[in-house]
Amino acid sequence: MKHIIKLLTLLATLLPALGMAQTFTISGTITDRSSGETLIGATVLDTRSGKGTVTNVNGRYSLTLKADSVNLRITYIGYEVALNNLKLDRNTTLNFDLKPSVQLDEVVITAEKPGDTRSSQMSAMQVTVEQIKAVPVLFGEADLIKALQLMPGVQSGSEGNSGMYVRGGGPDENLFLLDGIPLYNVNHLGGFFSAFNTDAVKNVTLYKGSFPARFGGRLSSVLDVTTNNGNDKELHGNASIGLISAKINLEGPIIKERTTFNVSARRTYADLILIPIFTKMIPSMSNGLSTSLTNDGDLGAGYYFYDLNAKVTHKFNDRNRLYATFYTGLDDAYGTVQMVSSLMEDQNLGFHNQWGNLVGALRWNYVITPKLFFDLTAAYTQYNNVITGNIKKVAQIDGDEDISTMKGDYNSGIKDITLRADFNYNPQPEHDVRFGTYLTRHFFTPEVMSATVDYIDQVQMGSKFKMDTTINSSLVPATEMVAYAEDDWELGERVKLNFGLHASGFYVDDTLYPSLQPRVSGRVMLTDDISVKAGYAYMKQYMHLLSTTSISMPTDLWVPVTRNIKPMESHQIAAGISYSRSGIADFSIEGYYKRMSNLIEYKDGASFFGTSDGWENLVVTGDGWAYGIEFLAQRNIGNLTGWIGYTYSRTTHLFDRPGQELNEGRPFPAKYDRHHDISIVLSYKITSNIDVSATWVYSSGNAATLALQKYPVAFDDPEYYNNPDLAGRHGSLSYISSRNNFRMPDYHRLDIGANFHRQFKRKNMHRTINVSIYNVYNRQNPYMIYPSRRYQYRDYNTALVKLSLFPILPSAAYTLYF
Amino acid sequence: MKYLRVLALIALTATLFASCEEVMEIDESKIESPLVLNAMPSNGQQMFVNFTRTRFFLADTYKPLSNATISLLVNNTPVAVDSVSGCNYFFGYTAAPGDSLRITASHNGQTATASTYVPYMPTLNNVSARLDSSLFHMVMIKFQLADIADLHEMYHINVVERDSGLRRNIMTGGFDTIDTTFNPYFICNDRLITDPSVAAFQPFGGFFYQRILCSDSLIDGRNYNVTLMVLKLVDTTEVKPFSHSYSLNFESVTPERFDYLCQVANASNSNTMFAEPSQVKGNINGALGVFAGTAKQLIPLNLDSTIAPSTPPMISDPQAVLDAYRRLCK
Repeated sequence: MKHIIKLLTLLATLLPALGMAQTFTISGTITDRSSGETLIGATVLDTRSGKGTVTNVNGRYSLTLKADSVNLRITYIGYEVALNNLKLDRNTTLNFDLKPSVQLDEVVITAEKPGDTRSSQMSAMQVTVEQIKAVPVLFGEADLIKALQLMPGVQSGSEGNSGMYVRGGGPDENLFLLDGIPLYNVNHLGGFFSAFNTDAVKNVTLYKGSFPARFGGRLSSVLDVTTNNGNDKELHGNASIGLISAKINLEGPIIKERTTFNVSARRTYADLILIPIFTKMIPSMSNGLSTSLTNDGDLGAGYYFYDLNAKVTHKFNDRNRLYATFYTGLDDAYGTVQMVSSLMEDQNLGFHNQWGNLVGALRWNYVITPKLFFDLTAAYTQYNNVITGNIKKVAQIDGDEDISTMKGDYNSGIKDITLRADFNYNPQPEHDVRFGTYLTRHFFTPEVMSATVDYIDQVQMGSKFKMDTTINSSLVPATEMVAYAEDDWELGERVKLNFGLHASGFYVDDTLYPSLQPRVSGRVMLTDDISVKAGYAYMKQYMHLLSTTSISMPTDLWVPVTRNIKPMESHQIAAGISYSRSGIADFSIEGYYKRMSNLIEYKDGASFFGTSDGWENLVVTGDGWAYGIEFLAQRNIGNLTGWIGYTYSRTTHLFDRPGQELNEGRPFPAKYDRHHDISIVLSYKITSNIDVSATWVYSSGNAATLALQKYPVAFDDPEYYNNPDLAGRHGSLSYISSRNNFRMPDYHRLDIGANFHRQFKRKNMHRTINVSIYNVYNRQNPYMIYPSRRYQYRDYNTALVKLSLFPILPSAAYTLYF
Repeated sequence: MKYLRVLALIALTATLFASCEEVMEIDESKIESPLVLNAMPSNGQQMFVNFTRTRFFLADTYKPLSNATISLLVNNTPVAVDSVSGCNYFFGYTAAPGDSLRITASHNGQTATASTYVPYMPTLNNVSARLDSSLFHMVMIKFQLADIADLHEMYHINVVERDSGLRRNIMTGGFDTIDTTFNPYFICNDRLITDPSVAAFQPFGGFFYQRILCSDSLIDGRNYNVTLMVLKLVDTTEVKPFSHSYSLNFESVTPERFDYLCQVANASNSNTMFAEPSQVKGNINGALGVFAGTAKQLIPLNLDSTIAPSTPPMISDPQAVLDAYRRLCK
């Protein structure tokens, strides 16, 4: 890998020499004038030569041009254009601070974003925070992942769920990056909300295919989220209160124009509301026993989640910056009940389930030369799920008090320590070279269960039983090594190519899995507005998420590949055409085909609940393929903005390896195979103070395995077959014609919302009231389908029941900006 | 005012989290209905075959098949159907150990075929049973299980109430060997399994084991003292009279019966939202079900009724319960 980096560096160094004329480099940072926030993806264009570049994740750019007069034009969506004419006769540093634009429709947008017509990157999309906040959503809580689910090629798992299924991939095949650091669990409340607090987010890019070489480790998508650095001029913030949560965001300078901070915090408060309700309800649920909440300060039962994002940025000088990123999020479900039985026993039952992420990262950004930028990152990330249950029993026998205690803990999680170095080199305007390396040490803790029992049995005349045991306590370490290099190369005016190589190795269980993953994508401009694109990506994934259900549960376990379970692989090709009519809309149509191998599925009858030990024996490996076509029409400027997306897709799995057969070795649709997805998202600015939005989604039904036929268990007594209780109802087995043999009903829903803004007299202070209605026409969309004995169906006492989760739900939120 | 606020909160919460259930209509005529053949020829019993098709899962009964044909070969000699009752076809043949059987059944152009044999029935010696008391009220059953050389043994063991024929829960079992590190429950396919009919009542699977299924890998070369603890008192709100009439059902099974029971157990255990659905395959070509020989031995257990009163003290008098238990422990 060293040789490759050397070669690339040498090539990049020599490339400028190939040009005959003397060249100089203009470099600098582009920021927001009002906040000092760096702008990612802003375009810097020399209108005389037609050469240009875009700012990187640090807001930096580098443009090498011939010594001549230069007319620079700097553009970024939502900002006024900045112009600068100069005579280029030496290397020059030029920083620009762009002024936010009020009238979007009058601004000519030429910024290049991933996935745009002019970008070589395909199968990618950039979503702004404004777009996310414009989408009316559940409980009024703007959610990044739910907004992305409205894009073509991205599907949600089920009603209200923030699980992501991208181009036929499973929910564990998405790499979620927060400032470049992986987040392992992005779900709150079983997936109804994601872990990304939109107040902290600056930039979001989703890659569905044709992945740049700098990304790896997952098969299906990369979600790259960059958080705000913070205002470097004055203290600002916002506070918001909604139906289920409250949020606050503060940003400002610690040292003016040098050190900034940005802190965002969010917490749900349903548990606080529910305290009086549980207090009233639980005694009536005791079923004859005297039951009450404990009075020792604990709540009876409840659930909440919180997350906290913090970022501190220090600018030493124009060449040196230091970024410290911190994120923590926690979900907590708990219950405590005191019971008094008629045997003169008091019992305290307690339950706690806590799960969440912790991320900390330190990144040093250094400008080595005006053409070469460097980032050095040290990061720590962990995900933990802890379940604790305890019983304390106090018995009064013959005037003596005997105390028995039982306590059980369940712990699972993953910890990563990463050190990485990234370089960004711009030798010429035609080249944007990135290369780097990183090393990650993973520590998997699939499941650790411990139990402590100190039990006194009154029946056995005070006989005691003690136990203190831990099982499945093994920590599974693994090492991941990666080196990559890529070049975004403009070959003339019409052709642009992004190619690279991602080399990785994963060492676990005395086994090394090396891999060389080529990546390439390119575009050809047919006219100034129309481009044709194509791309190829080979991806490898070294870890799996063992899920117990189709919904996101904290009990889902991350496990590494093993000596027997090989890494998952995918080869994806994509091609498409993109048309951008400046000032009107962008249109794109893309087709893809993805071949996957070493996929894992659970064996028939396998359950992962509490059985991670020996999990390899519960899964089988096989292959799959997915193909589809995606259409997107998007308008980002003017009073009417939004998009229309449509996806047609098929995802099929085939598990026919000897001894690993599923569905008798025949192909079957994947669980998340869904053929049609339509989303229409519109936002209209009525006045400067009022904007309204609406979202309509439609998708054909998910595949599910449902036993629609029964047949009798074998009995050795003929009378059993005639006994309706045994043979007819309870002595029957389910017959499933094939895996995922059933299609759920179609899903569709309309949400509407409105924002009412008001500027206060006090400078820089305004508020927004958001009112939204989820599921306006109260469609009973399927969440799950199951046989239920509670319902009468025709003459029988069991029925197939569709459970819908969310009826029409109005919500409101108040946000104060200061 | 305070109550109004609480009511408002309840109403609000109920509205927000209200889920809605709706019965779904399914066109059952579009769903295929494969053949099902079940037969378990057992030593000393008249052979019968249950032949039908799968039913729609919302239906209650299985329908007899009109114009169905079944033929049976016993040691390559045809045996005719003696009588038909519903879906059951009775043959003029009583199963005997060592017999080789082949069956062919047809309906509407579809044919099912399968083969099996009637296994050897070993004699079980020295079965004893007594009432026992610990945390739960138990019947303790002990017997000796000896290896039979050169025989691939597979056993299925459960306990039934002699009067009703209902199975009792085997709460735990012990295989007492000289090798104390040897645990019989983690070898090959040996396992304690839950009863499928109980699992159907309990969506998350039964807590108590109902049967013991063990193969030759457990038995081969070893002799055991087997202890089974059978739960008697399961209902804490109602004290039932003790029953003293139990039988130990000891079966020698064929490999196909063994595999079938394993698959049935697997399917029952997977009947939860945390598991993948499981399909029982059986050994019939062209149909669902199983054709598997078995040899049964039903051993009556005589419990000493003087150990405990026929009706235990009511649980509302804890001291009396305690005294009774203390007497039992002596």
